[in-house]
Amino acid sequence: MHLSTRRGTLAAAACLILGSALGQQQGQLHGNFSTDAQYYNEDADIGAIVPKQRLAYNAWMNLIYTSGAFEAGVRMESYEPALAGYPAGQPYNGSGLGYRYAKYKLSDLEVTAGNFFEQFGQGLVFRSYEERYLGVDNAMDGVRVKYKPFRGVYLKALAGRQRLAFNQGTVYGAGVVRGADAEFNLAELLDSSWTCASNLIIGGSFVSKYQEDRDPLLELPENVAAGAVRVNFTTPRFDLYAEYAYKVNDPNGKNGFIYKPGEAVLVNATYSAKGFGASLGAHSFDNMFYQSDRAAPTPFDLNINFLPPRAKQHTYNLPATLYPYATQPNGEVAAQGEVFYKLRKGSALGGKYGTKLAVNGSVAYALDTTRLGAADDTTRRLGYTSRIFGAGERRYFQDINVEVRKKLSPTWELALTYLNLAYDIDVIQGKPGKPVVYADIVILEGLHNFSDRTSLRFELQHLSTKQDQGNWATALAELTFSPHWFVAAMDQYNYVGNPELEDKGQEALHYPIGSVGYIRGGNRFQVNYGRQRAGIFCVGGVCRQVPAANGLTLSITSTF
Amino acid sequence: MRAITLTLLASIVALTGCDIVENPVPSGQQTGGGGETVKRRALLEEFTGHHCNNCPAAHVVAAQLHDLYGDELILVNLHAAANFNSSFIVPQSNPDGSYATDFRTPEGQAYATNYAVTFMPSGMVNRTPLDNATVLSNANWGTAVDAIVNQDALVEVWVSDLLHDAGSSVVSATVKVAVLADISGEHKLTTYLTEDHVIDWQYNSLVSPPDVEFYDHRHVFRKTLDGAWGQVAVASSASAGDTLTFSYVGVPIDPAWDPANCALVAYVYESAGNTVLQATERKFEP
Repeated sequence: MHLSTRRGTLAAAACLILGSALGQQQGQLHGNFSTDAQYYNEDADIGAIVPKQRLAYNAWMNLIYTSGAFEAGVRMESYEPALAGYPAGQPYNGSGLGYRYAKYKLSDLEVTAGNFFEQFGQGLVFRSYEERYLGVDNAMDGVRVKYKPFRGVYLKALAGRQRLAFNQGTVYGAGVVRGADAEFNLAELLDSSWTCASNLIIGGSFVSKYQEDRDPLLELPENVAAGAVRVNFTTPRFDLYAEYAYKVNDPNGKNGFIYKPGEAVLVNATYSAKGFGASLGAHSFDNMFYQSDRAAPTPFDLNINFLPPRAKQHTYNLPATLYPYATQPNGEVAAQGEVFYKLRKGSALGGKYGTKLAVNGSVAYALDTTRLGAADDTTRRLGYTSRIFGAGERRYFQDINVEVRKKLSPTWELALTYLNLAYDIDVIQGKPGKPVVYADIVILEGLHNFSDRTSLRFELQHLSTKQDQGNWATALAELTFSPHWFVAAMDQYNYVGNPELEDKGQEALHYPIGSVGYIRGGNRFQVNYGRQRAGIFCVGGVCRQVPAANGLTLSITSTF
Repeated sequence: MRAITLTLLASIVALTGCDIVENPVPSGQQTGGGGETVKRRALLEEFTGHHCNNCPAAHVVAAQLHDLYGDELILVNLHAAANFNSSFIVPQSNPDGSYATDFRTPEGQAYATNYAVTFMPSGMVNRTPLDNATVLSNANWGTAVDAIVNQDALVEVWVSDLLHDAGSSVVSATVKVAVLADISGEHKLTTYLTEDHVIDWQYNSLVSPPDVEFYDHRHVFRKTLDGAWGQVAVASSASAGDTLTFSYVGVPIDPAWDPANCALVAYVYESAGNTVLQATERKFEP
């Protein structure tokens, strides 16, 4: 491991030097740095995690060198140790090289060697990406070729292994991923022959993973392929996107080693006009876990594809961290609709400055399946039968929310939000036997500008439920002194019906936390001190558990 | 230009592909071991919990592997997780008394913490990494077991004497280690006491309703006879032909444990990497 890391570092350094030497133009080096460090205190009241090493941190530094058509880059990473609960999947330990690549572009051909991120369509069969604060990184290590043979025709091909973990350097998974994608943009392809304002983009992908079969119990497919086709029709006001994916038999640890093929369909339509917008979408996912290691330890590891969620990604603290929805790749049928409308200035409801109104609703159900009996091993191993968009009776999630946002005066703006949630915590968070959570959330957000440089933003949130941890209230105030300073204080208050608190003889619990931040040039510093509630952190329908903690946090980001 | 494009696409399709499996369960399954040389036996230390919904599915996998490998595979179930308060393992105070049993043990917790067991069901096979991971999902157990039982053993270990005194609830045993090839570095011996067929509650997502009152908990880890990390068996080196003897005298056991279902599991491991070289199991009542 150490040897390979050293070799990787030398190779990356060589790429940078070679690129510099070969560059016909003056080269440029730029990069960025970010770190999150935390000192952990004991706090039995909230069940705070106190690691053996009281001080933990995550740190990353990117260096990117460009010279004309050539580009090379490295990312150094350090986890000595990683923050508690980080990352979502397999552990990150030590310091070393996490990402390195070299890339050049010659005419219509672009070649990348080393690490890269890529996505085909919406990702139903392939998406390699990083969500740093989630701790998800399935970067490819291999080669990628992009080619544009004609105007409006885009081809991609790639092969390599995926990042699994970090141990003094990147640890790669057991399987190899190969894939290709083609996209045709008719407006570009037909150029002057295409005279209408609309456009049609069609595409197709093919991906295959290889993993050796060493299982003594089953005969497993070593090559597992998936394909997808997509179409995107756009007009100045209307957009329609649809994608269908099919995966051949892929017995794996997440689907219970069944040999049933997987299918995914998603459709999304949006319409926008001045002061009005609407979207409607639905999807059906069936047996679509697709990981380059069939025995990947967790759902976060070595995912080849990405299944986008069909639910609003809330940013307010309580709905975002207590009951966010996570996509269920083994099977779900979901739909979402959203309408945005701006009441005009001067109208009875719009008032002097106009009023923004947004209504959103989403729902996700289990897939309706019929389990196959034990007639013989081959039949039983097919698992179940199902049909696309065949929803089952079990509702995983429902979110209906309304937001009214209004500017009251030149210095005041308010937003009032109401959410009604139904949340199957047993399935979504993997808490067996826990009842469905029904919650009502009300949020008032305000912004007051004292002057051009000084402003106050505040949030008052309340969540009421009879299930799970009971009621919560949150108050937040952020005072900004532009352009350099900001201070913030927040308290989350869990005050009714939490059985865990009642077992301890506590009736209520506060989670106060304070922050100070300083921004200058490309540098940003932030210090927090206080309690961090255990919760869920989600990005794009992928969620990880965040443990409770008490302590001091320092965050630095810097760009040059 | 078009030729390049077509060649590129054709190459991609030719180099990749997919396998459609018509018969998932091969008829002539191969078992490891056998032959005249002593082979390694596999020790599967499974991390499980009575409120872990997917753990019964993993128990099925372990049982299938045991059916396939027989005595070449030794199973131990540790009710432990890196988070001692994980809802999967913590006892509950429900009105009907369900899930009240505390299966947790200090030794099991030490292993789960040391190996950062953050997900379950999971397990270690001879504490040997497979594809860069020591803690494996149940999907990898078969592969890991098959790799172990086909290897020649460097040491052999067996329980030569075992005496259970029901009156005073103590157990005494003699464990012997035979060195089959020269080994160097510190090696340790650890002996577990397990209890099979413990009937208690288990949350099982394979059945409906999932709360199973009379679940058959197999191979439950109860305690070690010599601490979580055992005792030194070889301090620095040993030569082929050496035989080492270790005695346990009057080790107390909980009288609630059914001796008819108890067993000792002894194993030798390298201290440096924790890799288990050889393991054995002997039941109190054969």
